[in-house]
Amino acid sequence: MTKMLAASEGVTTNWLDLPEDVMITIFMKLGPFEVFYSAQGVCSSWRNLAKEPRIFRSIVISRRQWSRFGKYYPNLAKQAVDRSCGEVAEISFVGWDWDCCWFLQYIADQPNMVKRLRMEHWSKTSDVLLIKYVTKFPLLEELELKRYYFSREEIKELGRCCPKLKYLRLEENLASLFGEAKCTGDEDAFAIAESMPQLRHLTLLVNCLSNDGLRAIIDGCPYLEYLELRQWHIKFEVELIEKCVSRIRDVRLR
Amino acid sequence: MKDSFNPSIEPPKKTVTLVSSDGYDFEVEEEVALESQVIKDGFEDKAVDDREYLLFNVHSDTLELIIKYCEKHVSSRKSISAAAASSSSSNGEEALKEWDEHFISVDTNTLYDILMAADYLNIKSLLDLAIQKVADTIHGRSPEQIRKKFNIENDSIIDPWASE
Repeated sequence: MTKMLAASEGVTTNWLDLPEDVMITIFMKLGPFEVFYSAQGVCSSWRNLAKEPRIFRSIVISRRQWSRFGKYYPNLAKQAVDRSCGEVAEISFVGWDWDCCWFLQYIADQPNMVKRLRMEHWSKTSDVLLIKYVTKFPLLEELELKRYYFSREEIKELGRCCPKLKYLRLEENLASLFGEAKCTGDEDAFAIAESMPQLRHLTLLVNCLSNDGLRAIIDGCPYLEYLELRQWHIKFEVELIEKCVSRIRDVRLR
Repeated sequence: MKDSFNPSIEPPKKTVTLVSSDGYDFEVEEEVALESQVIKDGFEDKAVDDREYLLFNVHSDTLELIIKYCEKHVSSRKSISAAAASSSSSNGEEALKEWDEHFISVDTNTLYDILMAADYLNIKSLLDLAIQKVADTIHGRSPEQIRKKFNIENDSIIDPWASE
């Protein structure tokens, strides 16, 4: 068994005596990558604690962690999924270029409990796959994508496959910049209005959203409590804005 | 605070007595003691004149810190809600966060004692604060640095990268 080193006089603290639940909460705060990289290597007791599935429910990687763990990442992410025993509920990638499709596929291929997905910096090639995997997260409640590449049909498919989706934040559809024509903000708005009637929170920061798009959202998503839109060069009609404000608690037009 | 209070002075508010593991009495206001969920849970069952709690697991040094924390939080909550009621602007929450940060900036042994006591007494906000501090202390350190910091012996030569 692990023992304390001879401590300075009168000191009786033994960190290995901490209740298991407290230790696991500490490991949860650290997150999977810190636990893999350092905590589990401290001693056998911590290594055993690091097997607790709860620690791996939230696979969140910050920019800072990416610079430290990047080269180990593929291996670590897979191990985190394995240790979670199917309990991964939150996945968040912020600001990196690594193509992590295979990792999402790994989760999507098993029964999963993913409720929250947040990503930034995607690319056209990987988005073709992304929509395939995200639609295999049937319990998804929150989705945040910055720089995504979805067509109207794909957004509708997302709505169909993730009926629990309540929170949606989409920023910069690259398809509207580089894709085929007719991929404007209105297209996204129509697709959302058609397929996601249960939304409570919607942030849609896309270009070329017109009165038609806004009207579709108001009519198609009756339960919205929060709506954030970017006002492009088209000014929204006053009566539409009034309708928004009367129905939705928190409206923000940028 | 360790020495017993002068009995001729009437306490202005209802108080309870907390007795540390090394036998010191701490007389604190009821609402301060009720920050502990454990004390709160047992509170109704106790007779009014017998509100004394023996805290076998908490040393007086630690108890003093715990009481300081609870007193600060009770008084801050009051001033924050008072500011909110009069809708005057207040940076109370920000100030309390700073105070917490300062409070928990202690050596690892004291941090351990606070963590154990907060868990035993079930004071959720303090437990969260201490847990976050431990996590922050571990964060970014190698296994060897962590062992040194927390005085833990490495009982097995293992490769943390080895797969199961």
